[in-house]
Amino acid sequence: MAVVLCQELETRGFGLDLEAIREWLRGRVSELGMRIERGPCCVSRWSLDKALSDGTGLVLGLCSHGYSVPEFEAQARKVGLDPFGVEVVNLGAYCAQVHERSQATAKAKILLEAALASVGASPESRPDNIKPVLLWDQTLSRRSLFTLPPVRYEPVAFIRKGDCAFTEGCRVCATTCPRQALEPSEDFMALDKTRCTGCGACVSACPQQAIDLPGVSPQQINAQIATLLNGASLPIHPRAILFVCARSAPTLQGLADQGLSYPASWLPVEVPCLGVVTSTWLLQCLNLGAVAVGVLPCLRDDCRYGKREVTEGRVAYCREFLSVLGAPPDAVRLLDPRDERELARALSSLPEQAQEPRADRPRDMALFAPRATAQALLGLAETFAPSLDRSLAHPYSPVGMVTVKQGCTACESCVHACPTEALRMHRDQEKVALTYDPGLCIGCESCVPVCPERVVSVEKVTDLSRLAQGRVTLHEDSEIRCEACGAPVAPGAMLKRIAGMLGPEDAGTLSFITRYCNSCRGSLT
Amino acid sequence: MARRSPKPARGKSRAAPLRLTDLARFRQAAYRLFGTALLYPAEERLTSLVAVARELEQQSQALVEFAFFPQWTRFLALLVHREDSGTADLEQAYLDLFLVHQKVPLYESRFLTPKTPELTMAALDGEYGAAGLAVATSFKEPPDHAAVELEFMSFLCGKEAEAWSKRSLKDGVKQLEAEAGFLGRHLYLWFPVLAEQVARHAGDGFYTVVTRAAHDFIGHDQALLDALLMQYHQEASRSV
Repeated sequence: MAVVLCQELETRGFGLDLEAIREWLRGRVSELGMRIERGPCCVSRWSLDKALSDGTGLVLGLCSHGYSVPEFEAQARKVGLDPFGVEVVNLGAYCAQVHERSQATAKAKILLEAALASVGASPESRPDNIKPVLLWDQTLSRRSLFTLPPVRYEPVAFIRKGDCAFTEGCRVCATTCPRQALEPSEDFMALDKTRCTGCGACVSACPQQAIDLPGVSPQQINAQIATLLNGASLPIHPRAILFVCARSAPTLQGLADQGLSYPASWLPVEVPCLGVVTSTWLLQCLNLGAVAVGVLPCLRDDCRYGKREVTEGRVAYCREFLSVLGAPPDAVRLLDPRDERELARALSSLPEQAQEPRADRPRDMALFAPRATAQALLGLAETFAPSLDRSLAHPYSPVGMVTVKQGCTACESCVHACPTEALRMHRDQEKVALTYDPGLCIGCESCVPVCPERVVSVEKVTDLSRLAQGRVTLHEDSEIRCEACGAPVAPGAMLKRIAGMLGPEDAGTLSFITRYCNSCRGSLT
Repeated sequence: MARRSPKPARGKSRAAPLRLTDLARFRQAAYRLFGTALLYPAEERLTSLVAVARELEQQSQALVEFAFFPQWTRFLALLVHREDSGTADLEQAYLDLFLVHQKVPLYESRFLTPKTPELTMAALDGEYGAAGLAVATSFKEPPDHAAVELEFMSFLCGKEAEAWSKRSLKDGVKQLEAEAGFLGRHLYLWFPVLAEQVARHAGDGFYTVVTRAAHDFIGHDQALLDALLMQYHQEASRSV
């Protein structure tokens, strides 16, 4: 792993103590992999040194954002470095220009450490997770049609087939994608790269964490956030996370040029699009010790995600949930990139820290984890609410509550449709039981349309006491056994249902069906 | 914090635009090279592979901006450095992987239609026949061998280069469609699995490098063809 810091950072704005940073990085990167020199932000013909490309990744701490991405990527490839293994941090705009020297230096260390963690967890660039974008001139001449325009690469989602639950019936990613880029094919979920905008909505929606998108892959985000919120020795307290749409990053970085400042507590996390940022992410950051979480969206017509109302809905849910707990709702904020002064003002205050970052944080506590949502909700309830007797019905609730009315035949259709195993069927000698773990439920409603009896329903409700309860039984029935061999025939309600469908004229058939199992029926006829 | 920020490039990374004729010629050569590398590594064949690799290595700096470049150069370097190394180790690896033990089959039907290989063969014979081609009777492998499919892509790229050099936009686009269609129906569907299996069985060996480079190249080609076609179709609809 290598780090290059632009030496201009020493004098830009309040400046950074680069020697202190170098000393602090010792042990994290090798001596050879640590450089302080004028970077690509300052030198137009800055060339990537082959010595830096040891293949494990590179972090660039730059003083501004003035450099050519395609040029840099081409250089990286030339020296054998994966461009996705490079993390660029604008330490000038995020640290040196907006905070006084010691705070800026401490914040720069945190951002660099998080960048190193992210690079370390970055998936390798491969043809499946990038797409070439042709930069055609708007006014095409006939001649230009016979030449290849400049190419740049954009990351796209990549589904790891081995982890995908497509064959079990999961379609969550396809229903989440705003561009219909994911379509079920014969035996796998197929991605149409030309439609994928790289918003990442499918990445955070996938209950199996089977989708990677370079920059926001589950491992990267988990590593990055854990590092940013690690309460270690650096004197930035409290800490707040600011999720920034990459298209609005220049606005945040521009505050520095306007002479506007904000507390060093805000630690920016640039994401390709806020479509990837779910309410689980927002709440889990608070649960992990952040005092506040902000989201800075783009307001462009060509937003990658194109569903700004979803981001607004997620933030609204989080704020209402915090209110229900008695916590300050402005711990979650939707910011407006249109007015820089207003943006700086919105960032200027922070709620009081209600809890110290937890030293006993479980290892699996992360943004991407099967129980991350329940963990976040219950963790915050533990901090803020005197009891768990609280619930919130909200269209953007990240958890659902499944109920089963009378009439269930225990056919298991809902169990097979559930992508998270929140619904399970338990069988023993005498009974069958449909069980439900709300902590695993993502409220996707896959179980509803598949129920042949129309008795399953899902409410978008966050019910803390039910979440805390763990797995419960929703429906129980006796298992009818074969008179000949003792094998299970079917649950009692199902046989009653069949009886209702056949009618009295088929009493003989019915008796045969209800008394013997499938294989014995074959041998008895 | 992120890899990239949305800011304008200071300059274009390529001095002169790459002509589609040249790109098609390069792709023609690359597909042929990959195909040949997946045939039995007889001495004569390997010698010619090394010679072609050396030539292509000299021309490859123009391709530095392409995402397949790292694996491509690794593949070429491996071939070039093989000069005078003999063929024994490669023959052994080939026999072990693809022939005697058949750890990884080099045939499409084994991946996509293992129970009905004749379906794949018939489809491929149809594809080759439509282009006026048939697998030579002297060639002992079936039409779904990786080398045959790669050679067919090489042929299609050759036709594309011809079309561009005659300044025929219509024919050029038609060839792009044929290439994208063939990749989408065949190579792109199974080659990634082949490459994965080779990597699993052959570690860092020669055939892992070959198939990884070919996989990157095919995946890139498919996406590039889609992007080009989308642009041409948009342009056509604007003209209408």
